Amino acid sequence: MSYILLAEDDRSLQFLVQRKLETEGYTVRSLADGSEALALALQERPSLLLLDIGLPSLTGFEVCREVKKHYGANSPPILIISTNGQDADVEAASDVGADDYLIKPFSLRDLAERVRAFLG
Amino acid sequence: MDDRTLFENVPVPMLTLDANGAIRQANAAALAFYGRSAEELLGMSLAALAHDESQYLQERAWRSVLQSKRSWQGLLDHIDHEGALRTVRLHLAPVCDADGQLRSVLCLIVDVHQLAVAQRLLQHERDRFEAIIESANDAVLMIDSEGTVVTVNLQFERLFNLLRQVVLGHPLLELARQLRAQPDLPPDFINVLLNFSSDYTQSASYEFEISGEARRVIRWYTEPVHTYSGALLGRLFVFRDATHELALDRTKTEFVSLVTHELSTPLSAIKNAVELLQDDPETALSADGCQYVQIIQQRVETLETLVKDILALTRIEAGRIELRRAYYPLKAALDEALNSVRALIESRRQQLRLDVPESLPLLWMDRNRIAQVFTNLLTNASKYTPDDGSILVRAMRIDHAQDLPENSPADVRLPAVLITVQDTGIGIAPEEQARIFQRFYRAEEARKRRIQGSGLGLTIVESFVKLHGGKIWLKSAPMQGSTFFFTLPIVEGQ
Repeated sequence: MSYILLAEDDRSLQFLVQRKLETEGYTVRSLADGSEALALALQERPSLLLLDIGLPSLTGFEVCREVKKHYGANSPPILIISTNGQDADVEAASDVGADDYLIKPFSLRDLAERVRAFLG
Repeated sequence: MDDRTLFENVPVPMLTLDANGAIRQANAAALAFYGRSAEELLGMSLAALAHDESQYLQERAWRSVLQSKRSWQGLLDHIDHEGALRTVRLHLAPVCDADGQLRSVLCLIVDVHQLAVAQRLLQHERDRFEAIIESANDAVLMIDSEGTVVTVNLQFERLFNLLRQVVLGHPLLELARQLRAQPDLPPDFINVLLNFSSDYTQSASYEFEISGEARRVIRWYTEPVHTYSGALLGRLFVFRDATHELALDRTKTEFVSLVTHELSTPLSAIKNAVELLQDDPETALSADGCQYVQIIQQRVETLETLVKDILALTRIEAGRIELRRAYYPLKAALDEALNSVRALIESRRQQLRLDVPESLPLLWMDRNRIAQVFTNLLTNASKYTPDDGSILVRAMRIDHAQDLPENSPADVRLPAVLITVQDTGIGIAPEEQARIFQRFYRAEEARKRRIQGSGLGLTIVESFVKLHGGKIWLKSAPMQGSTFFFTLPIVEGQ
């Protein structure tokens, strides 16, 4: 079954993003840990990944790099969630092959629009 | 005129003394100077005319004249007719007969009191100047108009490990040679320093690093020095150890980064929860509920802007803003800005008109930063314009200086795209216009009307425009609206 993988360690944010995407009609699986997210992504290909940068055990960048390496040209799109003012993050996001990025605090409406751009 | 008449009429006090130092003759000027009659003065000893503190020196001078039979002159203090101390230049000239026997001593008393006072004052001023320079926390170096080192202070000796004896009176070139022998000083710095040995017009400031164990950052500036009347005195160099303040600056930037970073996640959660409350049909609110949520939403947006602005400003101040530039149409940045300010403008029923031709060239810019420039200018335009007012955004290509508006600054880089954001708002008083770009500055009228704002928006706008090589200025009058102008240079073939 096609699903969006959300990795975000802030529980309230995780809950809210999941809710929004679900109301948009997507199936969402949420995790708070980097290596768990990577394991799931490799085991069962998500249709899209939403990765926060500051995750426990593996950062969003590392998960992104590994997923891109694993799936190659067939890789699902990846959105990195960065934090206000971390300019270097945006550079790094494109370095590890991320397809788009969002900066906290972001708008759920904007998030939904970007996801729609990839998944229709 | 015989000798006697001459002696009598010379306007300088003169005495003749016998070998015992007793006064034999005194001219009119001497009587007047000492305020005594001829009877009183004749027979008196020279010693009786001198101030106590000059007795010793005068006695020695007298003895040396008697012994060597050669004349002497020196500065002494005598007591004048008012009993006041006067500094005099005393000349003692022995007069000998044919077989070398001392017959008398001619004594000339030249009143140099005012000169001496002036010299003492001058010396005092010089001492004071030196004490000030010496106690300064900054290292000071001064060269004269020929490039010779004339002043250095203690801090200079410490900073550059040089004693003043080896640099004072030498050309700057020699100082440079001494500095080159120090491996911790960057050669670039010494080259820049040397460039100024022949340049007496430029002012400039620089920074360099002393490497090695005690790594230090030195900020320095140099200025030509002129007297009040405009004569060139030389060039001043001032060096300041900025290591601590830079470390402090860095800590401040890091701290602000950390705080804003930590604020971003909770702010995002609040904002998103509000969005869900508004968008999710399952959580439909009562009319009151909608109003409460709207208040939360507005205030979260204010917080969000504030956090963003503080962060931007900290980075600007730390010189850590890096532009991520690419070629974009101006419209891309404007549209991004409109996404966030359109709601505000609509809520106030203001009319927004855009005159941005499609034919404008692509601009070499950081889209997000220029979007921020538009956001801040448009937010201001809306905030300071009454409901039902109007806002006009225009953009045009400018190739020649004569096509710029008349109040443009002189040094606009061309060709450029000129953007104007015009409103029909409360305007800005002329005396405040120069200050509105200062951080935290808020116009009097804005505060009076309790229009919210942090005073950071225009500071950020100005620095982003400058970073792009553009200029920003305004035209405004109270109650007659404001027009902000800014330019973005057209850079081709990057």
